[in-house]
Amino acid sequence: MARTLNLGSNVRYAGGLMRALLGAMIFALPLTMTNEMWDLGVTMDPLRLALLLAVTLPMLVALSFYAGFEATFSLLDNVLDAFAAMAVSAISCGIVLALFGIISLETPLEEVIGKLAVLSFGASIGALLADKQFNDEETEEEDKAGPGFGGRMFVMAVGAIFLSLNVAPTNEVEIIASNIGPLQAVILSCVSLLALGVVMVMADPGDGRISWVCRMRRAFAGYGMCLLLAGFILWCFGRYDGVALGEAIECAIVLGFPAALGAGAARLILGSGGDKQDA
Amino acid sequence: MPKPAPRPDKAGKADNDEETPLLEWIFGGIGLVLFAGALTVSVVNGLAKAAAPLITTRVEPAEAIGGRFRVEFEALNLGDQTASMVELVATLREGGTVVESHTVEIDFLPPHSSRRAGVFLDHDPDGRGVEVAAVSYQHP
Repeated sequence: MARTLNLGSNVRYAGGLMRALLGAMIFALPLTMTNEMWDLGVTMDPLRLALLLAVTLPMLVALSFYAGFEATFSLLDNVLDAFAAMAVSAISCGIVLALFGIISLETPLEEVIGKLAVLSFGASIGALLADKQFNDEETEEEDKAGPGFGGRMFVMAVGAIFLSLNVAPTNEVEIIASNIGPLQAVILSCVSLLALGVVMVMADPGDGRISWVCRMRRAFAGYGMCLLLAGFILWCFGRYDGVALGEAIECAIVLGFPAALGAGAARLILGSGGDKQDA
Repeated sequence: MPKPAPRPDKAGKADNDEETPLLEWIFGGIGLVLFAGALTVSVVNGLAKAAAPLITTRVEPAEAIGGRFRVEFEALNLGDQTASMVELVATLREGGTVVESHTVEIDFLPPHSSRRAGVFLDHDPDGRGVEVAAVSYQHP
């Protein structure tokens, strides 16, 4: 109890919250200034929004474990930090939307909740990546520790969501998908896969310990996950409503491109530790 | 990557929840309330039977401006679903004859929300009255 009220530890935590606020704003500011994102807050199916929120919580808890805006030492710490990231994100997005006149005291509560929930989803990820963005202090223990397959996939998933969220709300995904033919879609898919594979090799040179078969397996697993996440985000945002299967796949391939780059970048930034070859 | 084992010296706390800073409890609690609130509202709205958009208007008195007449109105969606690309027609009649008619489009009209818009008329609507009615909308 004495430590709970200890000024020093509370001040240190406040510093972490400030980093979280900056991280949330750097990620969410472009989205708070995007018309499509405001519209999503009122047009998104409420049950899909609820599903997105429900999926977000465990992801944020895990992200707090892998990154976070402060050092954490227990599951409770990670859960509290995940909720704190949501709070910081919702409050900061709310202030920015109010400053821009997008929400006001006259705005119906449902509309405010919808807009803040949609924006806070991405901002919370930014908040929990704050420590990696603003604090380079990494211990030798962290450098040595390598995530397992699940950890690597999680880190890549966060990166994929992080980058594709900036694109998914816009109409451009559908426009690009309708402009490209099947051959271009295949080429785009191959380029995405290649880009992800190259970045994964950069993230983990392996010194010859990792076979090319293993690397290809990881790249395919990573890209497959990117496509699934792209499809899930597009479905949540209502972009698949009334869309034919072929067009839906092309949309996923289009959004899968930034998702793959985001996944690779996250693998470089968050998960640069050396790996063992998977069995 | 996974964080290392507890290092009480880095953040001034260890793996005992009694040593969690008060600020962490406060912000964690705020986040929990916001999360639970948003989740509850979304689920309740999602499960409730949503009535289709029902758009009504409230027309305000005309104002002379620059040799023309500005008429503002408020469009209100009484339904439970968002209407997009709402097309409204403002009509100035004299007797049974249409003197002027103008179309206004509102991008989004969320449920139980209102948006303000206006038209410029060439004729003074005083004593004749302007009607504004929604004629079409799209589901977003």
